[in-house]
Amino acid sequence: MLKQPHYQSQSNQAIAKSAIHFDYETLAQIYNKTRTDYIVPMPMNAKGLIQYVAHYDIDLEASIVVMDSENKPLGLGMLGRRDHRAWITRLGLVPQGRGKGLGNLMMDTLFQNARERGDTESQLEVIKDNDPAHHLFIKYGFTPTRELLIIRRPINPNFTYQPDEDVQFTKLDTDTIERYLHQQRADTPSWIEETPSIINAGNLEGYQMNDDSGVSAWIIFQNNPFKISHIVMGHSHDKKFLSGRIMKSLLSYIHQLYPMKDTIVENVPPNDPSWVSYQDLSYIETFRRIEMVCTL
Amino acid sequence: MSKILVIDDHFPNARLAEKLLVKAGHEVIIAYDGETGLEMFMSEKPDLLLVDMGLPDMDGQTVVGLLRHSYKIMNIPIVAYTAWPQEIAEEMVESYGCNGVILKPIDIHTFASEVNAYLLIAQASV
Repeated sequence: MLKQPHYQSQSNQAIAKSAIHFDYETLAQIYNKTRTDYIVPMPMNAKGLIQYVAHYDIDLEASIVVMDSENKPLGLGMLGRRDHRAWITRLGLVPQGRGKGLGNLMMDTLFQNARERGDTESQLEVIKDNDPAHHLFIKYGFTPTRELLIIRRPINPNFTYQPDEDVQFTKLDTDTIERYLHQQRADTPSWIEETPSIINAGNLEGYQMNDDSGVSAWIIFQNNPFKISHIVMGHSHDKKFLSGRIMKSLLSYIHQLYPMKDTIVENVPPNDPSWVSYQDLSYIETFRRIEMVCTL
Repeated sequence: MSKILVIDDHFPNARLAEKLLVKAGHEVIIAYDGETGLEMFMSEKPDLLLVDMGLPDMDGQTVVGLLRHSYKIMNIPIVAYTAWPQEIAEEMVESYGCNGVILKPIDIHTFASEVNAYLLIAQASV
């Protein structure tokens, strides 16, 4: 635990204050104000923000709110932290706070907070075509690593799936779900799809598929009242990539179980073999992010 | 006069839509999140739903999906009202079962007539 409860820095009469001093309702309001004219509006309420902080290991002490000289909030930047890696997220300025160099204040402060806590690498995702943010991150040494798709599948009450006769599906228990997620995964997940994020998210459900040819594969997902998310698929015994046919069977099985649930899968690389299978199951691309990393 | 339910968490946008639609002779009710919007839809029985796709609890797509598929609401026009890029918005609207889309920022000169057009199409198809 650091002795200083929060970091403060001054620039153009604005200060960066630790987000730990704000309640979730206020933080959600500030966040929504930073997104009023955003490319992809993603508003959030206090409940959603509480979950976001818990699921993605956000360190509120290291996260910041930028305030003007009259104590009005101008921006928000959050820092997730795992294994000496820092994830910059929810970064944004309200419209009247832009063009004043406050993006630099936010990045400087977040970098300093991460370094003070022993982080050696930083990563983030920026929505594709958000050029001002992209340029800011390039300036701070971030380099793009890959594009990531955010895909959705609408409710489809008419969807049916009949597995081949030699295919059996069995429900996974909680221990097996955690064991499979902790295996070395065949995919290379982004921060929000990493195993800690998925375990933190909870409400996990999983199924194993076996057939007479020796295929043993699994699918694990977060099952919310209206929505399925955080889908992960893998082989039961190794980290081989699954064939398109197997992935399609796994996905078909859960959509047949829950035809009335909307599905969102975040951060699928467009060259990932699963994207073809998702498309076969009527998933559509909603927008793209660019993943970026830098050494601290 | 028609009753129009606006579901939009952004207060200025919702009030602007209300002002323009009231001026055009409609009754407007507003919900600022998806759950309240669903409750108001069931209790108020609006003639048209205008729904923002980005809501703070369940998003607009989920609201539309629930209305169309879980509650079998097929005869009331649902118009998405969104800042998503046009191409994405149109694909989402088709996939989720909306009758159409009005892109934000709304054009104050044409907004009411666009909404009226969706109402007329719905009335003509009854």
